[in-house]
Amino acid sequence: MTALATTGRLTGAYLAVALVALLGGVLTGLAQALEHAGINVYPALAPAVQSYYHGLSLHGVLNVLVTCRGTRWCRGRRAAGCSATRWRGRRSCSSWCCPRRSVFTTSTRTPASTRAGSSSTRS
Amino acid sequence: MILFAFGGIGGLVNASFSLNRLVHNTAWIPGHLHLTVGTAVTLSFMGITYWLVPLLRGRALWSRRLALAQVWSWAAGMVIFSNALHRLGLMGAPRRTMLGAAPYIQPEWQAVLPLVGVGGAILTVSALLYFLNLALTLVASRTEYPHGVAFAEAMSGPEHAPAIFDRWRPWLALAVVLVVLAYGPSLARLIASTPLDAPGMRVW
Repeated sequence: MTALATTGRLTGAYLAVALVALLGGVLTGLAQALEHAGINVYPALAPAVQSYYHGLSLHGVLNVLVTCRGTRWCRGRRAAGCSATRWRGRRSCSSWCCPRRSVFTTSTRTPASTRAGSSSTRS
Repeated sequence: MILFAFGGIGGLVNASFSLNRLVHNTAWIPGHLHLTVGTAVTLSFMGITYWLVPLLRGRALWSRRLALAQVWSWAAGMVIFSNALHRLGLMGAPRRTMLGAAPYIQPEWQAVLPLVGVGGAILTVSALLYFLNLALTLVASRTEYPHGVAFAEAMSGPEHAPAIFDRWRPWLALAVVLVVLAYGPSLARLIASTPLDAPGMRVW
């Protein structure tokens, strides 16, 4: 497995943790909102969530600490992966996320010839 | 970003010493937080994943229209939810409190409390649509994602930068100048105007 594929898997792992945490944060949040509306669901949630205040802590920790950190780390990793590939002289960072296909297949990037010319003038 | 503006407006109240006395530790605070972190940050992250997950998977997002519906339903749910919490806060309802079981619940809170549940339910449905779209992108999307990240090219590389920028001394000198400019006048005025001959306090 290449380093680029590893970066993609690592990014996916960060995202998976963040999204699972977000789901937990959403469900505990729903329980709190329903409680304010007069619907007490906490007896049904025991023993996973033992009280309103247990759910309150879970809601905050899962959403703000785990989800936000996880998503931000994942973005940081991604940026680091891209810049590292560029400094190693590769053409594009797109190969890390989809290593099976060749790069430079869409028109969003600079043509390869231009880029090759500019890199040769640098060296 | 529209809701974030209201989060910023409410934030001025939190940051103001005198106004904060009205809303401190009331439901206003979670109402404010859900506009800033719960909407601006969360929708940004959701937008990022709508872009990043197809990129990682190599498949197009399962439904673009579902994603748009999800974002707008999140905004709508948050308007109801956060507005209710702000109003409750102004009426003195405490934050992080199991209000349904509170013996001191006020009659005027009664009309607003159900809106918290309504907003929360809409937000939950929106979040479930989000997870559904991502899950279907992973397992059911058959369209190849036109992958490749558009990348900005630097107009000039590090080899074109003046060598003096690589030295510590000019940056540190510039930092000192800026610090003196920023804090110097205030410090000078404080030193000049503060009486330094206040008598000591006898505390015993």
